Amino acid sequence: MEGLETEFLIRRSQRGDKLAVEALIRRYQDYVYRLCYLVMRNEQDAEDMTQETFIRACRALPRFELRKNTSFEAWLYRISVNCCRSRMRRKWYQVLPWPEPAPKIVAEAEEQPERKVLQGEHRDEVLQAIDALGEKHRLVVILRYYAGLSNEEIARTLDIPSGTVRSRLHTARQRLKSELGTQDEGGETERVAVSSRMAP
Amino acid sequence: MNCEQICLLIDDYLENRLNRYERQRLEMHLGYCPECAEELHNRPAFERTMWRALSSSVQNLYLSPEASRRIVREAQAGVGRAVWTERVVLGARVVAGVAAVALLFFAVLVLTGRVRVPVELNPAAQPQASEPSVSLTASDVFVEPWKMRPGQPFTVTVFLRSDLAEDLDTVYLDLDVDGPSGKYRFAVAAKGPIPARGVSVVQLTPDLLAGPSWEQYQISPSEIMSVPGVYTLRTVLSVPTVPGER
Repeated sequence: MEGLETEFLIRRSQRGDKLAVEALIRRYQDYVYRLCYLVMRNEQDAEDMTQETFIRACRALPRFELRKNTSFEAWLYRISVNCCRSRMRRKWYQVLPWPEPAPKIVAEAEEQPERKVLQGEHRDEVLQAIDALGEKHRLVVILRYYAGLSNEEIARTLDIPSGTVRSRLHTARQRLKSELGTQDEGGETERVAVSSRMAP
Repeated sequence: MNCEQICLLIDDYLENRLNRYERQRLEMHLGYCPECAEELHNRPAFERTMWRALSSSVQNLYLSPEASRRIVREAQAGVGRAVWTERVVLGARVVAGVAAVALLFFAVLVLTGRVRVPVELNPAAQPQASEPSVSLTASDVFVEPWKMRPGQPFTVTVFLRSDLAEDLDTVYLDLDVDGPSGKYRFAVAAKGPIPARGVSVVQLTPDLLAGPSWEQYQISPSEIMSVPGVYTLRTVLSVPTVPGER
């Protein structure tokens, strides 16, 4: 079932086909796990939230309506974020520092010069700046720039007006630019792009 | 539009989600505001930076095979239950819909009098405080002789007031005819709160009479007297042709 269309897998899963359910989970498990990790910043919690996400999704799958404008990914991300948020509300949650970059990233970055700027220190600066945003702004940044959701999809996911999403993104951008601009006065290509608004 | 409003709309502009009016306003602003134009120009690079930072921090993260198997197992059980639950809910909805339609149909039948409601279930037909009875609402009916012509039918209307809250075994209607000798034909029709459909009137005495006579009808109350109210009974009398008057 690896090469089958997602829509086909969804339809089969809605009829209770267990193989289709398995294929659907295998297709999205890493995306969901990574999103949960970005929100929770803890592998164990991210794993738990991934499991919770798929259990909730499978429970609601028979009622999921496949339409032209509905995105299964956005629906799944919405469940993930809601799971993470309810977990974070339930217990006192300590945001952990970002892990050290894995060696593989460095190797890949060397092969791709455009990624060099995100290696090591600079990437950590960006991640720390995102961390410093606070939960509500951090969530919209993750959903917008990692999950690739549109403002309307973020609004539906977080159950807030789309104007609020735009406003939070704007504030987050301003803070990120301010943070990254003050951390580094120099100018690598990407950094110039980021900080140019602050230092015209 | 000021610069802040423009900044809020740049994402939508880049994704082509603005309407024509907003697009024109934004482009007009960009024409004379170099800062916003630069912001627009730098936005894709900013997005790339964010995406790379976020995705590179998790790109080597994979769910462990053990966790994956556990999730698949749990989810498969969950989806099986969900599908069955959905089917049960759907079935219940269909049954409820059919029951609602049947109930509506039954209500229509009751309201139109095609189905009788047991007295115990009919609040309108509960016993009244006063003594229930069936009585004539008017005194005896007299037809003046000069109005009667031989062979011509005429109608006598009798009103019966029923206070009964339940069916009577029998209601008798007695008609005393004190007229010329001859043949009287009594065709009784009834009308009342419940449409007098299928009124069963049994004529106890033969309709062939001679001279002053007494006529008795037995009216089946199960058909008409079940609801308190005034009932109308009409009898059509034919004045006999008396030999010698022709």
